[in-house]
Order: sequence, then C-alpha cells, then structure tokens
Amino acid sequence: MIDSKLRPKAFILLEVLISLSILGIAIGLFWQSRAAENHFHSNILERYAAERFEHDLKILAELNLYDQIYMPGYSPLKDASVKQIELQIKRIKTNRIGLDFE
Amino acid sequence: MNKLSGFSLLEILVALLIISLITLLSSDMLSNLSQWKSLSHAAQDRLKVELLFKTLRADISAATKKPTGQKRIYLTENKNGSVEILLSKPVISPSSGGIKVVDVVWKFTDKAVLRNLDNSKAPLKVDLLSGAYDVKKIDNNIFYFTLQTRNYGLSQILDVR
Repeated sequence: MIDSKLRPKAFILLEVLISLSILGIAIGLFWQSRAAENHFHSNILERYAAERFEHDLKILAELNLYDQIYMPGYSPLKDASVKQIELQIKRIKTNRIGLDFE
Repeated sequence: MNKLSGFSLLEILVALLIISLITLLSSDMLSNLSQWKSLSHAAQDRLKVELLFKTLRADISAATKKPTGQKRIYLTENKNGSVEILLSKPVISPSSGGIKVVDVVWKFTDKAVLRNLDNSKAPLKVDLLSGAYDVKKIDNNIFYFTLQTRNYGLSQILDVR
C-alpha cells in the first residue's frame, strides 16, 4: 500500500496536457462561433439591404428617376452601376446563409 | 528521504510551449474580441431597424385609400427633427376574427422608433443611439426617407400614392 504522505501533491504531465488541450479546443470553438456570428450578421444585413434596394429601385424605375438612388443608404451594397448592383443582389440571393465560408 | 513534489523542468517547458502556442493562435481573437463585440451589437441594432423598415413598407403597402384613390397616409416632419407617419390599414381582429381598420402611428425620434398599432399600450419600440432623419420629396407623393445614426445610414422610399 502506498503511503499517502509520499504521493506527490501536483498534477502529472498528462493532466496538464489534457487540460491545455481542452482549453485550446474551447478557445478554438469560441473563435469559430464569433467568426460565424459576424459572417451570419453581414449576410443577413446584405439581404435586407438588397430587398430594400430592389423595392426602391422598382419605384424609381417606374418614374424614370434612376439617378436619384442614394447608394450609401443601402450599405453593405457597393456603389456601382445598376447592372452591377443587380448582379450583387443575384449573388446575395443565391448564397446560402451561414454555409458559404471562404 | 522525502521526494519533492511539483513539476519537473521538462514538464514546465512542455506546458510553457503549449501555452505559448495557444496564445499565439488565439492572439488575433483576443485583440479583436472587443471589436467583435461592438460589431455584433451594431449589427443586431441595425437588424432591428431593417426589420422596422420592412414592417413600414408592409404598412404603407396595406394602407387604406381615400375616395380619390390616394393612400390615407400622413407624413409629418417636426421642427425638433422627429418624423411621424400616420396611416390606417385593415387587420384581422383577434376577438371577432373579422376584418377591421386600425390606425398605425410611426414615430421616429432621435432616441427611438415607435410603432403603435390601434393605440396599443405596449407599442413596438426600438432604441437608437442617435437618430437623425431626412425626408426628401422626389416626386408627387413619393419621399426619400433616410435614417442616419452614428454607425450607419439607411434609406427607404415611401410611396404614398
């Protein structure tokens, strides 16, 4: 029988390694979840901006007032020609939210 | 002879190596943590405003019309910079199940956006850090409404024809 007074009162290397590995995995998962959250937010905001832009552009097109569009009010859509913006919207619509990580 | 308890030099070195590796890998995350937090809050606030704008579009689209054919929508720009939109629209009454026409009041102030449906005691409210509004008439009964906050600006055409 081992005398309890002789047992070392410290962690063994394996214990330290396991706890550090768990810490590393936890930090990695946290970092990934934060990155995914940001990506998800920007994707959703892009979609809402595109929806607003389409609604407004339809009205302006009806009145032939394309030039009145105020692009900074539709960020994160980039300032570009109407055709390029239409392409942007098409890309946003075909993206699957949260699954298109680069 | 009593054995000294504790880590050996090799154990400490290995642990330090792993700690420094983890720190190195997560340094980006640590430095961006506060930035991420504020970005996340800003995005959530903006999302709320986007949803409000979507609701406003739906309200305007469903607004009842005057006998002249024009929508019954009243837009007021106050001297203090706030904007009010009053309209009426049909809704399904939860008590009777029938359709009734109710008033919808939108109030855009520097501190919040409020939407009150049928004089509700608990109107929909979204707080803003600082909101400034601009209503520009671009055609007969068509207005360009812009909300500018500290972090972003949102534009929306209000078609009250």
